[in-house]
Amino acid sequence: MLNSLRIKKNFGRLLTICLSFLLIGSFFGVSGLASSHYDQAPILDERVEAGELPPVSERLPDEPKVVEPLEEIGEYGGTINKVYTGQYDFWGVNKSGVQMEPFWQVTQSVEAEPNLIKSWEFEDSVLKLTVRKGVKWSDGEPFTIDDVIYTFKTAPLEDANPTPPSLVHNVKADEIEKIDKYSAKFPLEKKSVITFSLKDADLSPLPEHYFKQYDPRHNEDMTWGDFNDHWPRGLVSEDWVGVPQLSPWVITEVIPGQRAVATRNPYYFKVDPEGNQLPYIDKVVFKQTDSPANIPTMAKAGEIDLQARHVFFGDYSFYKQNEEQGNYTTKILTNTSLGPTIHLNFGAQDKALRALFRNKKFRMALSLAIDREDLNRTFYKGQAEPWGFCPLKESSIYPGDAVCQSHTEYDPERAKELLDEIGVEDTDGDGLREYGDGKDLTIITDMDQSGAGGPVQVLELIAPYMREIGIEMVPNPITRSSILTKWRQNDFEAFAWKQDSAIQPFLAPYYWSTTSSTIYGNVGFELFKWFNTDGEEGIEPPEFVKEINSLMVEARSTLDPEQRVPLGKEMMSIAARNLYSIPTTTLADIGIVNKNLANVPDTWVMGDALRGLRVIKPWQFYYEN
Amino acid sequence: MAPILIRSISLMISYVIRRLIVMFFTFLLATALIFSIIQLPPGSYADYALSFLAAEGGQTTKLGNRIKERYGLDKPLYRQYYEWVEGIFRGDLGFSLTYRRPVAEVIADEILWTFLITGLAFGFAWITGIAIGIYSATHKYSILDHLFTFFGFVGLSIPNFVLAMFLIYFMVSAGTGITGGLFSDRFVGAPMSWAKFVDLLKHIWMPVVAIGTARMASVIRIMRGNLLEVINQPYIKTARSKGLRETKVILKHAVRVAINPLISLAGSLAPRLVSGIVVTAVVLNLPVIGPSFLESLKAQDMYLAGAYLLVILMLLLVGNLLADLALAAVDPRIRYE
Repeated sequence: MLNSLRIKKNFGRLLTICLSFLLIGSFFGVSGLASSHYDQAPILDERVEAGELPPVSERLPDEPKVVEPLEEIGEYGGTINKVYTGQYDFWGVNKSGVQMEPFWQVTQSVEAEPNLIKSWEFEDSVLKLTVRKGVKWSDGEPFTIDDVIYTFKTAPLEDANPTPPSLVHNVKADEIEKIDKYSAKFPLEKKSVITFSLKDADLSPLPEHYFKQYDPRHNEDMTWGDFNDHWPRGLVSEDWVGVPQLSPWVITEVIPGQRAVATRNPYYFKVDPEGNQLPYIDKVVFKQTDSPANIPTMAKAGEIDLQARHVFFGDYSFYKQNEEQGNYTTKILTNTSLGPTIHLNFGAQDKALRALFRNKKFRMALSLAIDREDLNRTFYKGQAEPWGFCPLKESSIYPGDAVCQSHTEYDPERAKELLDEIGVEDTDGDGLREYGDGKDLTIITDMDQSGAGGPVQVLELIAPYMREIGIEMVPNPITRSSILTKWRQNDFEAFAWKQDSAIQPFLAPYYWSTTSSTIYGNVGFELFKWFNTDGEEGIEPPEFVKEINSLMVEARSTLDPEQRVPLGKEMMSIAARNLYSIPTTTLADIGIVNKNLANVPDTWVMGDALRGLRVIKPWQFYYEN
Repeated sequence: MAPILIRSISLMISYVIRRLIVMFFTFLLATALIFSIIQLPPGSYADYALSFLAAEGGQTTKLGNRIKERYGLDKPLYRQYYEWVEGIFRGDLGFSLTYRRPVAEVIADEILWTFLITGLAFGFAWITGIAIGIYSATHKYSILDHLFTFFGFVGLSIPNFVLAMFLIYFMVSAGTGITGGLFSDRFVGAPMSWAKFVDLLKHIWMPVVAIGTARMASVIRIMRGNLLEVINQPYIKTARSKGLRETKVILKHAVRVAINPLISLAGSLAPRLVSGIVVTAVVLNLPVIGPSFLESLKAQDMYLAGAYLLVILMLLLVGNLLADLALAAVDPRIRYE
């Protein structure tokens, strides 16, 4: 029955494709796809007729970017309903294809693909960028290399709501050399950096013609405060309305506490192979929910068409059971991240605890105590995999199974022996081991209560394993800002966070070494200080952490992949063998997709480096009738 | 007669003035308390902002310092407090760090909705509660009395937000498509119309019932208990023996006295209704002060959080004042204290 349906459906698709080829053929004769005839969404027809908008062929660039739809050419119209959790959830909005169109599109294999920037090349320490010709901002103004230059001169400024570290901070802004309207040379501070880091993936241009009016460098009446008031970077804010954009949908309404609406950008520069201007979908509406815990019910009520962010694996059964009523499909997704990994503070204030954490045998005991198979079965319903402190197999620097499985077998007896060996024993018979001068061994492990650091339940499942070997591990779900504050004040024992960028550790070095002032993969803020000040301040890291840090720096400043890969493998072997942090499993994710939404893949890879949903190109989604 | 009336009025005025003076100092003390409570958690708004700005990537401590500088978070605490309180007296509630807008602008709408919903919940709780309380007292140990008592206890013991969750689950499972909020999606942001009003009615009963039920239960208990006590007083027996109709005896003579504790309770309950709405509103996605209050506390957006606490404080103070005045008006003994 199912099969025959599928055949029918496929046959229908085949028919559509054949027919459309016939149609194209008859329309354009031999010239085929190389045509200048473009179509637009019906809702734009009126505006063109009324003279509000120029015709579609004038709005599109000379060479629009042609996007192959995943399965078939779509139809125009419809709204995608999503949720966001408040004004700080800008990246949830952005990663759906709204606001801040990136220079580069990241592909599923973590490669950079031309987007606004058509081509780029390194000439020694100079990066030459060329933008796509004839692209227009959502207000109809042309987008040129001047906007890019303006961005590189503005984004790194401390005064201007600065962008996190990325390529913009590595360009000598004063020495940018404009070649013509579409290309320029950008001299780099550091001679060679890895081509793209994670933060370059979301780098996007600022509209110079718009920001000039608030920019004190161009308008004497303005201050940087005024500028920042009009530059809502990182916020879902009413301030976005009216800021020209290059994205498929632009924010046209924000009612704080209620919703944000993004409507199609009539100047979006992409078309499908038949010349239909993208996106197919008219609108994306984000409904605010005050707690992600409300999302399952909203899905059940059919209020959500597409959502992977804030959708947690722990609710898998609920989502599966209510597919019919909510008219959606639950998809199991892979993630570029590993599950929550426990980072011990190698600079803990309690010196006895610090010494313990730095003892490899102690870390081995913690790791051996965890039954990863069981964790996978009970929590991830078997959809994840037990994993060591290693990148994913797809990564070019995966150092091999043997190394990666170091100390990940389940062996609580051996764990107890190890603890006995290093003198951490239960002397008062209360079931808990003591350390130092007789304190019970408890490790308070901070974790983001919202689930942003991976499922909190995983830590709750790990606690009993630790109890088994006589260690009390207390999961401490608190807000992200509290974790951050505690971390920066060196007032924590351990914290758990998902281990992201496991597909390409070089893209996010802060997850895999202690070389940056970012928390996620850090084994102690004081250790970072030591690294950052060349040992003048902070606490000296253990030898193996120093090795990891220096290998990370060396590998990232090596342009040649031939050299970089061995360095990366060496780094990962050291990390896995020494248990830089205590690993658990890979991370399975879920997403829900409206049953009628087409051109959505059956599964995809989620992850920060891949910019959320952008990797599956929501601008080519459409509703099947 | 006249001198007594004048004396009574002047007593009332001096009573009000005394109350107002006490209110002023309570207010000052409370603002200091509010401010210090908001400052209790480690870190500041800058840390919160950083944790999100940097959520998907790197960050610098420099940026944190810049945010602190820009919003005056680097000034000493007493200075921040002084500026805040001084602003309040000028009618300036400060600047919301998270919304990047004046606090008054952020909370104006929310406060309207909050008053509407809590007002309705208050009316619901008091009207049904008093009616049921009177019934229960006059029909002591009847089947309905037992039933009301049972549901009263259930209502008291179920937290508001749990009740709200039950309601949502029930509504969603029944296929109504209502998952909370005050309007259906198509009416959000639309101008007010008859259809929108009807839509509002379809949604607003949920928070009213969720928040009002527990209060209603306590009103029933208090009304029932007091009335039972009053009913056995000699003067009620006298009224009866004089041949007054039973309804008149109960409503005019008994209830009037038995309702006094409910008046003073009303004053102290006003702020509790607002605080009771906080978690419920998160569950029901209401545009009231609850969710944003929680968020502002988490973000350490001190002026916004402070403004919410001020609203609750003002409700408490004004509510108490009104209740005291009402009580003084009803019960002459109070005035002469």
